[in-house]
Amino acid sequence: MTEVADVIIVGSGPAGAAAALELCAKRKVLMLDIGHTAQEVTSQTNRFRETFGEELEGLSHISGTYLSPKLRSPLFRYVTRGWRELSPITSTDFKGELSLALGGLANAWGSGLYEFDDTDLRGFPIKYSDLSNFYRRLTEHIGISGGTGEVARLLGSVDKLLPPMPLAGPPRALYLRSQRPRAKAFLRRNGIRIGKQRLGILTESYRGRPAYLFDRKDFFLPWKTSIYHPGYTVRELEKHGNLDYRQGFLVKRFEEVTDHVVVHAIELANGNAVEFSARKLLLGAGAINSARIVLESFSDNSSKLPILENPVSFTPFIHFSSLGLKPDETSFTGAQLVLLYDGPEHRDRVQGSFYNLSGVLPCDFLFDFPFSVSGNLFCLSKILGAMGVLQLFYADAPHPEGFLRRTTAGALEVHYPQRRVGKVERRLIRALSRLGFWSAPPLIRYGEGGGSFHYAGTLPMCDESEKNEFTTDRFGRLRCANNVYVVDASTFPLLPAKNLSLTIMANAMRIASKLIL
Amino acid sequence: MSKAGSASSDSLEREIISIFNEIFHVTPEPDAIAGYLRFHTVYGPSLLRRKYVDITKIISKQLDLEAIELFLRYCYPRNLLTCKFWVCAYLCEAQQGAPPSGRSRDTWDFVRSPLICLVMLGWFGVRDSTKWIKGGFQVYRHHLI
Repeated sequence: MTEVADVIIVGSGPAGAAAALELCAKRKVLMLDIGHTAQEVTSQTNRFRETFGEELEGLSHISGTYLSPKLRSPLFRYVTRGWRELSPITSTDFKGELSLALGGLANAWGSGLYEFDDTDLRGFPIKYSDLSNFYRRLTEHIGISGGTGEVARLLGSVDKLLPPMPLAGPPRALYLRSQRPRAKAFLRRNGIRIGKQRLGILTESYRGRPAYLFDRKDFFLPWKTSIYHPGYTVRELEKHGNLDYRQGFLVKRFEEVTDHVVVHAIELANGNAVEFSARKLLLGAGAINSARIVLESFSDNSSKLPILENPVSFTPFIHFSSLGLKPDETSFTGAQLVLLYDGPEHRDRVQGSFYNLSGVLPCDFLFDFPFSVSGNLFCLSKILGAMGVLQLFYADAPHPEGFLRRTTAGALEVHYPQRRVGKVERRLIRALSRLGFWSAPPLIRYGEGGGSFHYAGTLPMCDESEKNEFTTDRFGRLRCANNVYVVDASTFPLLPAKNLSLTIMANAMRIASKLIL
Repeated sequence: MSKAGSASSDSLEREIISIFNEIFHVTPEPDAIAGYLRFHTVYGPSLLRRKYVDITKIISKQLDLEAIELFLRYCYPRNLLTCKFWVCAYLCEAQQGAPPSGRSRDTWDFVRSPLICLVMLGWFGVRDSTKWIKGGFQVYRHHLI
């Protein structure tokens, strides 16, 4: 028997949740999702199990499989659980991760929620004015904290923001130094701006959620309610009876029949094939999985779809004056500062986030120092607290080496080679040394292909003139279908160097609002 | 033959007790020992791909574990001993709820300024140069690899 709804949304990540937020008041919405969730955090007494997991999966990196500290943390393993079996990718150079969890990869995000301005939207068939209303509503819905200075204004409107997260440790020292008039002028001459972050983290109680608690467990305790992720929106809509959220369904493909869409899915609990029907289908399964569903629906094994991601680099810094000092107990473990670079080393703006290292296990860095184990343990004790890491994101545009296509076996072949972009890091190392922050070019690490988790551009929005069947119009409608809309980052034709989550959400709401009209 | 993952649980227990005592100056709890054994069960195959080091001989001859590890880390970055040190450090951190200090935590409490910190790093540089030479000598004299 086929179940019927007005609208079916596939996926519960930022796109699916935001589209549901817009649609639920006026339409009967069914959301299909696999929806893995975090285990209940019980009063576990075994700290070994809590830290490393039942099967010591938190130590998998020692055996040579790199996984970011947050994703390898046992209680966060649900975020990436099962995608390799249910959503397989064959690749030699794509080292990314997908998520089948309720809320998607946003379960482990850095929480940076920025707006795209008209410069960022160059190449998009939409303008900032098309998104501004939805940015404002999302800011009120989520509860975004942030500064109000010059840099904050480059990240979006500062109206309705909650107070910024307090700074601590080396990021605080960097911020204070960078605000001195001479330092500010020097940084400006070098194309650098440093400011406070704009985060989906509550600095005060907001809409029934508590303010952030400094417990240094952000990497070990999922679903901290002060840190927003789209699962809250889904749960909230479901609680109010507006959304029919169906967990445990893997959507395989769709087919259009006269004026409606039939969605074919597998119910994971029993392996049965099930069908759902709706007037409109919204794909919000993420850039890679939405492309997979589209290619599967048309049994297309030949088309190469573009894929974008933000190339990323990591540069560690040491703040000389903080050496030997005790780490600040009230230190936020995520990104504390934002850095923007506009200069000759790169054609587009480069965005960076400055972290301290208080959130991860110090032993992660045990062999990053050059001494004997005793010397390195001394460094963990006395130097790690003076260190920070600058993560830089670069913009991306379609290029021949980055593509995906469906294989005859039904898997997805994804290619995205590691990219070493620009010489910005070296410029920043020189500039920040003037502010007492030291680093060296050999310490720079470049993320592997897929390592930023910012995937986009597989089914891009474009004008009529550039259209082909696997593109979308400016309202996300798939050109090879009549009632199928893509609401996630698949539709981004370019990827600026800016956290994309808030724009994914605003764009999904924009597309959903068009369906209500 | 105690090659990597196929070592007996008795010899693995001796390994973790030696590393904890000599390097971290603490005694491993039963949970830490169980975790160490579990690690070898789960990741045994990947340990076989690392440069083999005869840890049983190092322990039985009471050689300088730290010096040998330092030498091997520079000559063979993917060696078995460094890997085992890393696992033990994590287990020690979980046991103590704080990173291992290597010696009494109070010993380093006097380091509260950047200058003293740099002096300490210089001291470690000198100390570890001699450790490196000592480690190399022991590795080749006792045929540990």
